[in-house]
Amino acid sequence: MKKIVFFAIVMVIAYHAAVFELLLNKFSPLPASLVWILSLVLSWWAGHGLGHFSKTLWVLGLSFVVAGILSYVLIGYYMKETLQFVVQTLTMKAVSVSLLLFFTATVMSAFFGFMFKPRK
Amino acid sequence: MLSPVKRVDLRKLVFWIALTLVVMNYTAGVFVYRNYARKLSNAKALCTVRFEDGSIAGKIVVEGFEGLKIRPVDYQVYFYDRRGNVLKMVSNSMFGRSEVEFVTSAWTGYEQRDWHAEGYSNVSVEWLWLKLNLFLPLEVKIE
Repeated sequence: MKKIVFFAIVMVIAYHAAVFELLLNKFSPLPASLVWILSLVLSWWAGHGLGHFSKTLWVLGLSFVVAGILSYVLIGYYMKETLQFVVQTLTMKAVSVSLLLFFTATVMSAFFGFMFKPRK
Repeated sequence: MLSPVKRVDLRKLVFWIALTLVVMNYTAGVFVYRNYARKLSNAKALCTVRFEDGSIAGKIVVEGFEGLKIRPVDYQVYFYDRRGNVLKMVSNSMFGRSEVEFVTSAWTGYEQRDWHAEGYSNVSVEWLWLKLNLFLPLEVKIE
């Protein structure tokens, strides 16, 4: 249980950092591609550290949803003082990122539904 | 030769480094963005215009960029009448100075209250690794 909570927190951080990096890329020191690779390393760690893959899938799915909600709330908070030039480039990016997040979340939930279907 | 125990340690070290880098990058990004937004929203360009027997004297001041390295590039001021016809346009380079003045002649036949003005200034801003050309509207005050 402790491990699951730990990896859930790690993955929430990884997902949220990736979304932040996609939206406000030029304000952070590391390039977006490196953050992606680091996030992949972290998810590899989650898969490696948890015994069963079903657990890993739960952790990844839940933290993805949590990080998505968290990103909406936090990005809204960061954008409280809007910079015109940022908003112009951000609106398009935010739309595409949220569409991608939504699409991936629906695919994941459908997969979960399929995976835990009772077999007759 | 590395023993198995040592190899596990090395792997863990890589993971922790990855986690630290992600967290630090995120924190730095949030810090930089918030500060940048605060600093830039304090910035403004003021333009005071004075009418003196047949001529227009103006002064443009770019201010409020605390802690940022700025280089004012140029400005444009449009004077127009009540119906929006442009009566005069003044533009010049600012050569990196944040305070410039201009003098131009006013048209006869127009009273002072007929003159309205608006304008903008281009300012290049540098802070840390961020470079930006900011399009700053002038706050025009006619005296």
